Amino acid sequence: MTGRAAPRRSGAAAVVLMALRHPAERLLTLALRRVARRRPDVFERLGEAGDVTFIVAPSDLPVAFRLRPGGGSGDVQVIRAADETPRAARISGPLLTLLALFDGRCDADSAFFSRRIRIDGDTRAVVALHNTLEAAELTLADLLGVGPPFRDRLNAGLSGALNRLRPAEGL
Amino acid sequence: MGSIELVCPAGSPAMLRAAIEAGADSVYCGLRDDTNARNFPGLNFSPAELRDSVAWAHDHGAKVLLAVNTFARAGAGDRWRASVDAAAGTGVDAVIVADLGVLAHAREAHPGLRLHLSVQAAAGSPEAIDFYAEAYGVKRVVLPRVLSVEEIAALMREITVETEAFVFGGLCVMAEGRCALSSYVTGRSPNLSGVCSPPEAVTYTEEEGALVSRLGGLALDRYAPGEPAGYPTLCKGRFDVDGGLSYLFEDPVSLNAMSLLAALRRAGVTAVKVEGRQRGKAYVARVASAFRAAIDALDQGVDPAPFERLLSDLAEGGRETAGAYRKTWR
Amino acid sequence: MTDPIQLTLGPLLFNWAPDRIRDFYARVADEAPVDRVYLGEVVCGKRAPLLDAALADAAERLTHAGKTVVWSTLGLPALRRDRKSIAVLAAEQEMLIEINDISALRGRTGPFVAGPLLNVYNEGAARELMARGCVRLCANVELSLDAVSAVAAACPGLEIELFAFGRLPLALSGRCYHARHHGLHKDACQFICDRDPDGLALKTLDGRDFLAVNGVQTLSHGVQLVDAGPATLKAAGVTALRLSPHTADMVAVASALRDRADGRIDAAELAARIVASGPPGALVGGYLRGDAGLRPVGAPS
Repeated sequence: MTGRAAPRRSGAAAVVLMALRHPAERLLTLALRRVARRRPDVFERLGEAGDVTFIVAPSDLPVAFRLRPGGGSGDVQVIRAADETPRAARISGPLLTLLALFDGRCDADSAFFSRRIRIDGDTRAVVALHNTLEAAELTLADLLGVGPPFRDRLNAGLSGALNRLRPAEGL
Repeated sequence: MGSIELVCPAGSPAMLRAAIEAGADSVYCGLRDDTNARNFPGLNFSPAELRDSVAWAHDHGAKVLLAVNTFARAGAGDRWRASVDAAAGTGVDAVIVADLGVLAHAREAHPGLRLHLSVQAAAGSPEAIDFYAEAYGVKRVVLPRVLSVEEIAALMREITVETEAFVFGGLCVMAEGRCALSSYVTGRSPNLSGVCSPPEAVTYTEEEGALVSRLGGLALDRYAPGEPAGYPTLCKGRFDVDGGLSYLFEDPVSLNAMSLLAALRRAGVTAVKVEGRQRGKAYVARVASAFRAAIDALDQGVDPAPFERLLSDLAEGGRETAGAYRKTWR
Repeated sequence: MTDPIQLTLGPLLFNWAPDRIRDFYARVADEAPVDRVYLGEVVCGKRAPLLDAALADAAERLTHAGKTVVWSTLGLPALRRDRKSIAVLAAEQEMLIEINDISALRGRTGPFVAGPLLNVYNEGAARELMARGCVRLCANVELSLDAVSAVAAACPGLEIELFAFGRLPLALSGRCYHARHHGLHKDACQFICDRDPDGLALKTLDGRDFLAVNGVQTLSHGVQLVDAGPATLKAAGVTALRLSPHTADMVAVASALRDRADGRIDAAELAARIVASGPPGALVGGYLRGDAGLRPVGAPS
């Protein structure tokens, strides 16, 4: 699996992030439930995959995110990167690649074929999640519950940041 | 629209808009069930989304074609007929059909609804095409991907219906609508269930440092670290014949026939088709833009070759082919 | 329905030498308890000139022995001459033929058998074909017995055959896999498919038997066996069981299936006798149960 060399799982960083995880979990869980309320079409499209446990594991962070979409009562937890939840659907790759996949900037199939991202476990659920995000046109601002006009400014700002941060070609 | 119609895939309303904004003349899509041959979880349109998307497309000068192109399940024909009925009600510009019973229903119940013959009908000869044209009034046939350009040109001299040829995306090396490889291994196939090599049967495991892709537990390929990986579609697997490993059926490459656009147009092809409803907005925007530019270039008498290179990183295995269009493929 | 289940022999799929073909059908004529034999090149039009004379002799021999002979068309016409040969057969309106490609329907008014290589999956399609002269359908191998029953129930009068023995025909291509494996182009293939009388076997990377190629055709490595008894078959509306010729002792295969179809032996004994006849692969039976085709015969998934 490709990815820039970074302090991935350094023990100290993991300990600190895990200790600080509760506020992040609360924010992310609230965001997830907000999407469920405002965009029921998204969860409807997700279907059975809404009951699956997803692990999103940025390869350049010492922690990962365990996501259970679960309709209106789903949650997000911060876990150690090495956590092995059985029967989960796991997606891993560099953080910027994962973010670009999330907002549809990057073609998921290319990212997979070129080994920038990796899928383990429940392939069908990952396909359902990918297709749902593709169709949903959610942005990070949606997740953060920011309404217009701030949402558009935030999205533009994030786009700008991502464009500057990512490598020249093939994110 | 230029001298050749550009038909692009839409796996969702968002992807439909991306395709049309990037220059597609028409888009094709399916409903969210096994009446179409890309029945992946989370993909496709609800009837309401279809209706809204058709209106949006028409407002933007584009057409929508609805794929009802799988074979009805024995005893469940009602659902396929209902999909055709739903399509007729949304104002789609045509339905793409393969099944004889569904064609008969469309012809009888909706004589004004334009009928396109799906590639799943495997109509690759003038006699087969004429049969469908005479029996059901199909106006356009999507050509099987096993014909060379010369064969297409010869075919066009003998038929009167329009033709649509695949030019980009996943490659199918077997006569479509008649391939049971997937169901032999998984119980599901494009014919029975609208999917080939369904995701629930797919696993990727790390074994001795290599990534092994499996379908229904059968190992289909093995990738060294850093080597481009592929989806375990059966016909793209690596197999052992007489002790030698090879991609016997087809290399894991994708189709890119942009260099053959001029030849296809000379042969009389009405429309060129991009495969990939399951690929997403980023994919369709890039492919539609590139082919739009290439077709426009062609119409202006300019060489479209430079646009072909724009798309190579989208190919499976990172490699491309012009497929059966060149006879050396056989 | 008190008529016994018929046995038919499907068209030979492989490139056998003419003498082998003559000997094979002579033995079938004399010894095999089959009612009907399908003849004709179904896979590759290039082979037809090599085999035509032998097949004509076989037809005469079989008819003389009281077997019904039905000519089958090609499955996927590739060249102009393929289309012509299909059209010639289709023009014999007085004669029952088997159609394996939809192109044969153009201009056809006479009766026909819809072969297993057609993509007929339901009663709607079957009825469309019946309206055009179809009197018998050999069910596509992907269909479960339940699906076959549904078609039979909705199409009274339609005779139904099941692919009961042989490597399953799974796909046809414009590309010749024998030629490709040997590094040749299809146009200069040297007919090397004649080296593999049951098809050229292939395994997966991890050594499991999987498929077999036969020119442009892909077959299963596993040999399908329909081991259902007469009551089950009749309840599903099945008229006949089709045996696909292999290098196995086809007379023994036919006799075993005849005994099973008449209720004289059970599924276990059938399987034992079939294995003893020398099939080219393990016995499979998943499709009829609505399961993956490669599942072993008899075992639920």
